Amino acid sequence: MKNDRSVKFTSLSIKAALVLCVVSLFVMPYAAKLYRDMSIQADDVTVPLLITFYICAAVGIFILIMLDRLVNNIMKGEVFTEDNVRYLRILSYSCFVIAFVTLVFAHFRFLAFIVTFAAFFFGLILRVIKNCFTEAVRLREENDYTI
Amino acid sequence: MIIVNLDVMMAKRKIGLGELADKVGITQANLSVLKNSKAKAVRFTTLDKLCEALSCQPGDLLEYSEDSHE
Repeated sequence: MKNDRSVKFTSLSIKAALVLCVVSLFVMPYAAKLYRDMSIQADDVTVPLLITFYICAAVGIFILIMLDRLVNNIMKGEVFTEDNVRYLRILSYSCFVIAFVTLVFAHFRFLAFIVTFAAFFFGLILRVIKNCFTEAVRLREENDYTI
Repeated sequence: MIIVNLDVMMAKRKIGLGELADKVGITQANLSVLKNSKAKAVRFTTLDKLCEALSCQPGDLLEYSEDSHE
């Protein structure tokens, strides 16, 4: 089925993103040094950059694990469940955490504010989806218990 | 709250869960949900078949109680 392939593709993409995220943990110190060498600004932000990156990477890996669980549930046909509502809630909060961390870093480099805005926006979208799922769970339960 | 007196009517008619499920055309599991007052809603078609199978009125199967505790 076309939808099955789509969900499998999503699952594979999540796993690929997870691998990339883990690889980036090792590459980031070199990337930060490269950024410092290439930067035309006088202040050195290597340490705040690395701290921000590692916090975001940790949250990012957590997000990818939650997404993987969510997609696994969807593949099993368990879409509108309390578990998935919980995963969406956690994903939303995780986005807000990234937004907060990058907001702090935006004090050093204003462009980081773009990431703050994007993360906050994603967090809001996920919250709305979570609210829709909550209602869907209620409707499914009502339907299941209609004899 | 609404109390389902299906078990009372089944006992009166001396009919088992399996037999009633066959007559009504729903699964035993669903009938059990209804019998144990776990159901959130009952379709008119189901109620119609239950009344037909048990030769009773909807009021014999459903009862309203002031107690709202679920």
